[in-house]
Amino acid sequence: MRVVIADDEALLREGVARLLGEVGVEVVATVGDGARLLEVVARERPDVAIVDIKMPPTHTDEGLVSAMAIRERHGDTGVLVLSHYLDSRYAMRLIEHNPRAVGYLLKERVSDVVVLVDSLRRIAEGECVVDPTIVSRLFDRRRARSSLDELTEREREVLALMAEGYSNGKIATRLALSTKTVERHIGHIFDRLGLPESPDSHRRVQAVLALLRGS
Amino acid sequence: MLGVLVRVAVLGAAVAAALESAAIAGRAGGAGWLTLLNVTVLASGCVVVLCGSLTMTRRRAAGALLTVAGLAWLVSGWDEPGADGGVVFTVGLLVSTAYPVLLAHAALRFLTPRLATSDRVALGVGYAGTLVLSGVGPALVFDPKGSSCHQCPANLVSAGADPELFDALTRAGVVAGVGWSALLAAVLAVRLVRATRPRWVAAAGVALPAIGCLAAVLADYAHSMGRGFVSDDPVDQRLVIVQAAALAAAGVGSLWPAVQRRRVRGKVTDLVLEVAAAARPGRLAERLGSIVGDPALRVLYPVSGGRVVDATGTDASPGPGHVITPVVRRENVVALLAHAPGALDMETEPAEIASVAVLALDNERLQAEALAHLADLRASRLRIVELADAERCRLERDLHDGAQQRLVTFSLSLRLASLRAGGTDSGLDRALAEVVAALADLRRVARGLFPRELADEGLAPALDTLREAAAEPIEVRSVPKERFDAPVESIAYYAVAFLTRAGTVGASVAVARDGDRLRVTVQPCAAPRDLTSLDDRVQAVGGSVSLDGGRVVVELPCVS
Repeated sequence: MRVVIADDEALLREGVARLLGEVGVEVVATVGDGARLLEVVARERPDVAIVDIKMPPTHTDEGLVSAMAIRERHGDTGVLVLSHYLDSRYAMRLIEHNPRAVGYLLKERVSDVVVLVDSLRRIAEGECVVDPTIVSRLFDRRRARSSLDELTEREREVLALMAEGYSNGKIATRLALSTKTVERHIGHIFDRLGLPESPDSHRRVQAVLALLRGS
Repeated sequence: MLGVLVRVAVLGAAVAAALESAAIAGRAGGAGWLTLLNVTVLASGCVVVLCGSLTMTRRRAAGALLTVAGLAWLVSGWDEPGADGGVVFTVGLLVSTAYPVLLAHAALRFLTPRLATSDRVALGVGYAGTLVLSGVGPALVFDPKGSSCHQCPANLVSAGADPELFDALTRAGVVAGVGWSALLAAVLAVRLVRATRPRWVAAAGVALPAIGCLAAVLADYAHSMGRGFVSDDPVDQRLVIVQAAALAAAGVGSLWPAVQRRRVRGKVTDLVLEVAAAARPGRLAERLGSIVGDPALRVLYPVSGGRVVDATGTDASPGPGHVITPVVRRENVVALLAHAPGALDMETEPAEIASVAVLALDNERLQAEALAHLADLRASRLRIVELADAERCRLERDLHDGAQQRLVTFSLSLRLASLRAGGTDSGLDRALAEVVAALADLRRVARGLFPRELADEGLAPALDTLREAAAEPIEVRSVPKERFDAPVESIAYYAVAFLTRAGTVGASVAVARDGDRLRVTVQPCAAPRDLTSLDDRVQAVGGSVSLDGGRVVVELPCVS
């Protein structure tokens, strides 16, 4: 797998590059800002671009803007946005813009090499990945009136893993269930959240967005 | 005391002069002295002397000149054969035509505090014409014994008789009289037209009758041109009555400013009572403006720190084209009146206002000073809040961009080391877990310092995130999407965060804009015990906190 890394902190991007190198991911370039990132992606066509959300000049959401631009211009390059914040607003913006082959992880996840590489793989396969901490926080939070309250404990576990970008087969493995049972749970989740009939991948994203919106 | 003595002496002299004139007139005509002409002349002379001496208390020079003009008018009939003795007769010969110039001089002094050169030249011409050509000149060459007037008393300044020169000088005096009376009337008219409003009010009562009087004098000299001397034919007599009336009017007119002052004083007194009854900042300036006839008049107050403020305590400066007149009371500047040039009579009105309105002005000044200090305090409190917010915002960014990045880099190094050690070093893994925990702590601290999305995106996203992060569910209804001033957004956010803190269950939040107010309504299940810290912040931007049933309503001013 080929990736590029965009982070304005040189030490950090080199660290991530070395770590990924250790586990056999090929880092083809590292850059420090959004403009350079777009150039390198156009040239190298990597599988995934890892983008820090804060980049020059304003250090607010330049990384997010660059990631969305990449998804628009290069359909075969996925993006993994690294965020500093737990709140779901940026993740929602990213997924609402384009739910295919995008990921949103907390910055410190880069040192958790297993999760990082797993996320990169799933993004490269076209999945949508949200940080497990953010997902579990969204479930922990008690909301006033929400259709999510109607889900059973098991259905919540399934939805959380869907949000983290796992396929039905992987969810079945992780929860020690049969794929058929998982599919039944997912169908039930779609019904509970009132998601209309449509291709399964679209409904999956809608379910994740419903979770992020807290509705 | 001296003033009273002078006034008594002057009035005594006037009565004496009038009695002598009456006696002379009585001896001259068969009709006795009690003719309309004589009564008019003597009465008007006495009126002018009386009014002139009264005016002297405030307008010393002008009043004195008016008094002297009256006396000169009273002795103008002394150059008659019936005069009692040489002194009376000689005085009559010398000054019998001088009074119009003295009257003009008095009127000019009423019109201008300092005579201009052109005024002095015109007066010089008048005095020369009347005192030299018509007075001293003919008197020197007139000897009653050598002429037809055998009953006349002695002329004490006669240097020998020269009837031809006497006639020539008298005729020249008549011609000159036409000139100087016209000149002085014109000078007075010009001065009057150019006078400022208060000056006009103060002087017109004297100057207008003086112009009338000079016109009658001019007519009499013109009428006398043919015969070469002023006489007492019916035309002369009528013109003398006109002069007498004008003179009396000038005397009465000199008292007009005093009447006017009483009027101003009375109005200012009413004003003080009115302002005391219903004090409203700025009312005093409005009323003073209408009293002195300048609606744009402003009352300003010097306060500590060398500042000048208006009645509301706002820094102020005089409007364009306005001049400043200080109102001084016992050497202290009570207030500054900013007004159109000439709207105030500088000599009298500020003093009148100071003496009567000093309490009202002092009251308003103290109020203005307090308001100015209050505004200063508000501004400084707002600056403190803004500074604190800016500092917290900066700290939040520093934590993210500095400490957090370093910790992430550090965790990467630990991970690399752990990988190279083949994943067998449990110490490294524990350290890694500690660093990850530290990162979570750091994020919580940073968020508590200042929510990033409040500065970047505004109140609605910040409240959204607050709701998401809250331990207990919070219902957030309608929040305006627009941006407000940074302190307003930060205080609205703080208010919600404060009122929905841990331990508050089932809180409901609504934010709505109502014109220039942003209203934050929070319904906690139980009212918080102490709202002081919230109140302090809200008041810093000029807002208010109120309890409405179980709800807390925070109102903040907003403009956009």
